[in-house]
Amino acid sequence: ASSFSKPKVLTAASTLKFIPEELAVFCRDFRLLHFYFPENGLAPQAFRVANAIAQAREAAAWLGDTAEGHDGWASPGETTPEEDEDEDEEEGSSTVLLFESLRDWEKELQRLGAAGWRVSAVNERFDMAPSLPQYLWVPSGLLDHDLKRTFAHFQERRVPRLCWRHPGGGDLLRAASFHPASEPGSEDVRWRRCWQGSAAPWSCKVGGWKRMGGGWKGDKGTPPSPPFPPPEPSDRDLNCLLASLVQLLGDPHARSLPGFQSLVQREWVAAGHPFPRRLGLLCRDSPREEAPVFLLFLDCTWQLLWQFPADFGFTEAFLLALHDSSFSPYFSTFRFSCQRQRGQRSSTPRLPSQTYRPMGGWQDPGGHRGGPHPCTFPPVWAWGRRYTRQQREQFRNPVGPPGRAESLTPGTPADPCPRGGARLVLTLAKGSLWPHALPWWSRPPPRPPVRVSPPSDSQGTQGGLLGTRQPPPGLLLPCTAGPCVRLWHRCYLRGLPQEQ
Amino acid sequence: EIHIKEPIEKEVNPHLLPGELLLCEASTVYKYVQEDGSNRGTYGKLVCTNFKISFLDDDSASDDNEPQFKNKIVGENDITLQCVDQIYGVYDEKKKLLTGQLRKYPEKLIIYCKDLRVFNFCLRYTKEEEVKRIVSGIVHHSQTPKLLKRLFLFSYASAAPNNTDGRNQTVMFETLEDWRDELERTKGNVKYKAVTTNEGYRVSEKLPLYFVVPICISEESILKYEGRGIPIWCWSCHNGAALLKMSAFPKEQDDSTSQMQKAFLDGISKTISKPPYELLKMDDLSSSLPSLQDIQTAYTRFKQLFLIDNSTDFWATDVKWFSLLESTNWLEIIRRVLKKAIEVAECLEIQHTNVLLIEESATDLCCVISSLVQVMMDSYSRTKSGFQSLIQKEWVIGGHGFLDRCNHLHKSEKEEAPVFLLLLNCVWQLVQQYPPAFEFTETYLTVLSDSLYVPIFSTFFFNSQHQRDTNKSGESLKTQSGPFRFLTVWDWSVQFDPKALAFLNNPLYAEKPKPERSQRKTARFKHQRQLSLPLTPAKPSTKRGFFREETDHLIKNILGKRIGKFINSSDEPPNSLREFYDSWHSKPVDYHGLLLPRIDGPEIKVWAQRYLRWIPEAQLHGGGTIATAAKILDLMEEVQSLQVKMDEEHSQAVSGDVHSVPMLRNSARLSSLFPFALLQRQSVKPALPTSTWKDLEDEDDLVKRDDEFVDLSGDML
Repeated sequence: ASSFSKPKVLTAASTLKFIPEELAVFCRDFRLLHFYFPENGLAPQAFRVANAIAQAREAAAWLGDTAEGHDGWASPGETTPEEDEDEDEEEGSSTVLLFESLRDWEKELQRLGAAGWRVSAVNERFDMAPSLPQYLWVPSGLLDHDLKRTFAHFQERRVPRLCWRHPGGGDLLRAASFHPASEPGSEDVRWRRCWQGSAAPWSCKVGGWKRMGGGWKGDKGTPPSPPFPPPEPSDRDLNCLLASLVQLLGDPHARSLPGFQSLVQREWVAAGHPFPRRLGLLCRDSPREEAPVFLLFLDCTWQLLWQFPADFGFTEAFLLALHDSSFSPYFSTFRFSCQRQRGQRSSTPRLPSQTYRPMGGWQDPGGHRGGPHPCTFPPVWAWGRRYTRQQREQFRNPVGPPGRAESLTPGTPADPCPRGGARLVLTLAKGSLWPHALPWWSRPPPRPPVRVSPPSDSQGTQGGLLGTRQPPPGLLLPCTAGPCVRLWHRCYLRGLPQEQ
Repeated sequence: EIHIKEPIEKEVNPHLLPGELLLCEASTVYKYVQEDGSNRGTYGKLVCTNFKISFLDDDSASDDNEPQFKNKIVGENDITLQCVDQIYGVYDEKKKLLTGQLRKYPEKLIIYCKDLRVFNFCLRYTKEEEVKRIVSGIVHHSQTPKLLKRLFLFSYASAAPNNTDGRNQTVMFETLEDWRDELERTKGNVKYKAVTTNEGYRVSEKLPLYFVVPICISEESILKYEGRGIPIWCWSCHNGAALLKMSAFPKEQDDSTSQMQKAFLDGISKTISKPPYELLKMDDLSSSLPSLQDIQTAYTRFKQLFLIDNSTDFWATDVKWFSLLESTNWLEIIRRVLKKAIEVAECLEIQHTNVLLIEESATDLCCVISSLVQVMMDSYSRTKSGFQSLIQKEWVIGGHGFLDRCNHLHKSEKEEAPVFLLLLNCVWQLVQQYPPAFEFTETYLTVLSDSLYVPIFSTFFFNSQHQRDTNKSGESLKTQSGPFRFLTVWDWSVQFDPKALAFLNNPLYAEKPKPERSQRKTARFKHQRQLSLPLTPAKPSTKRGFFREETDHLIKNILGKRIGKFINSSDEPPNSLREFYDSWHSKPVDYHGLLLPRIDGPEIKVWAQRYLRWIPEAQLHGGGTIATAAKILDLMEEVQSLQVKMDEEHSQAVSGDVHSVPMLRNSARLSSLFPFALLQRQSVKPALPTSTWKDLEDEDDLVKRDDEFVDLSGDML
């Protein structure tokens, strides 16, 4: 609010000591609304309105944090007539895997063709790791009995698990770093053996990470290198970012509209990214908890989209809608920190199935979707609730790849390497890949780290060999050099009048 | 450290143009593959002729896959003498600038080119006397002052078969007729006339033979001060308002002279401010735009960002890229020039005033602004022939001193300034913002900028029409009796074969439908127009529009510092300009009408194709705008082939001349820098060392590099 062009920041705590002339509202979607109160007797209202807005904003944040189950909130799912329901189903929600049911995990694992991995329901009651999803992808050779013992070694009990399988056979894993108190060397030989056994020939390197955008380089074609879990202390922030970016680069399916939504659902929502805290939706928490990790991901995605406009099934408009929806209170997707919390807040708490079944042949007696009863708020993917059909049509990229994303061809792993011996697990730490991540691996690393160095091919002595080293189809190699990183001006400069 | 590969003794002969003479050569020269510093490379012969420096690869036979886009005159390993920017010698790992006489001969030669290529030659395996001959030959022929008559232009013109075809669509403005046609085209012939006063160059050698002035200007006043103080017509707007330019008087010490000049000017401006002439607005460009010196300094710094020795250097500077770019000030200069052009356009379009651009010689920034205004306001200037005619009118005949500004003869560094490049950079911003409005592509602009350094065309190798005419006669050469027949750069078939020429035309150009076109052609262009539409959907105005005015107001009042800097960096523009700019941008774009560039900071971009094309690290495989364009072309081709099929079905005279859309199809994934990026080889990015993030202090290093080199050169002499 301002009086005589002296601006003053309004919070609920601060009391307004003057009659405001103008009220400026800075929005998270970079809009800037400006209201002017003329001096013809509106002064008292101006005062009240300004204060009310400030307090309501604070209150909303409190509500989001404390009110279990959102009792005081009108649930739009019940109140609004659902005229668009069928259309939604067809367009968004149904094709998106929410990863709340076992079926979704099984289906995706099958799509990836990750032999040697299985879905484990060991965390079905969230008792193993509260922040992890109910179902985990773990090596087939690892029994739940043994798996259970590994949880304690990792911070927040977030064990290594599969994120994605490269068609060439490499696996992308993610895990939290080791618990400081763990002494893994003493036990779990079996766990280690499973890791070695499961690791297929490998091919994922990770290159530079740059500024606000840029990206990750998954490269195929170098000698088979082993899987790496990218550990960060918590496994709930940057791992989400990296795991999803690597998949965007390597998996054409992730670049389709439903594929991208499933990706966000799996690597962010189900994986337990603490959205409320990171987006700063809770004012009570210390501001240090706030960090726009998800928005950073959207920006990185935009950089990729900008660099490879013909490889994505969605558009900038879709990313903008997602960006803005992340602050909206009407969707369940970004309101919770993990699946468990989401389940608890649901209006009709229901205990999930307690029966453990190894894998396959699983039928959900309850219906199509199992797991915790979804929150009454719709997921953000129900775009029909906020966006018109016309707007939603702009989400699809007209020059993108042909509509139906072809499934990955799991065949022809580069060099099937059946020997179970020296296979390398690379860990990403401080921007480079290091071998020997697991402390119980007592042997010296079998191979020096794959340092990123110029390929030593003898060919290429002559300039102008057009296209001799094209990246394999389906893989994007973004340019991370300064000139290729741009400002997402449609997003950040939206508030400026001339950008509209 | 070097992978010794036995040099194959094989006779490779340079491809010589007519009139080209081999001056010196050296064999067993090792050319590094520049980008990775891994000492990989290839052996060959380095030759220097009176036209170019050329590296001839020993095993050129292996070069079987020809690039799609190839220059017939200047090959991949050719550097014309005029294209050489700087030459460095490496002595014991130290780089020294080579100019003039040499006492010691380097073991490595680094040649920086004006088209931003960098060549590294190792001379360690070459015979000593050959090294001496080639190094001093190259340095002498490319770096020392030269006589105009020694330019390759003349030897080529006298030796080449002169079969200039007259069927060039470009208006050359060499005859009175051309000027009259232009007056008629712009409907300026009521108030302006083409004059013949300067026949025999009796007014001034700087003015063209024919030019256009207001009808009321008398011959005496033109003659009085050698054409100074006379408003010269550039172009007339559809509403009758005209763009004029005038060369100012130099600062006079003598009071009475300056009094007289002032009176003369007052008289002139009075006559042309009266009806029927519109109100006159004068704009002294020397005070409202950066000086030529500033432009030169900015560009020197800017190009240094792209003249990269190896990829290690690239990644070392990359962490500071944005601040380095900012510190060059080049983009800011582009922005100021564009803004000035918008100002002028507003005066002409909205205020209906004549605009008179004033500059000392009226041949530098006047050319930039007047050309830009015409590109923005006259859709004819956005066609290829229209643009070429514009360059011909404002620059070549208009008397821009290409010879001095490009320093082709190495006469004086002081005169050098990339004024024409500045124009191309500004036009590129427009092309990039509104691709369907232009008949030509950015590739066209890139090869045009390269042609500045190819001395077989007369276009960019004279300071004025007078200089060209007097040197054309060829009287001093006994071998040649008749006048020289110079080639013009607009004859693109000299440099490119038809396949490559296709890259210069924008297939998505939204051409103005013309009724008199033949039936088939119109049909074809209609398709193109329709297809180009989805690229730029007319955005439905958002609901936020309601707040727009308030927002604008607020930005000015409260947030002036925070956001406002994106809008007006240096000086607050007059409100009417702001209004003009905003209202134009709130409407859907008409590609045949007025075109205003967006000039907010983030919209001004680096011309990636020109500046990054030799840097493999900066290219995207299968990305960039070319990826979208390729998809659309595929679609167009499909539609066209379906059209053909339909025609056949209807058994209407099956047409033989179905224009196939050029190229692009065969290679699945193109580089973003297509059709350049010939040196594409994948180099893997090093993991970013975290330490480099910390030492961002010495940001000026790179831009200062230039100065240091100048110091070193002193040692050499």
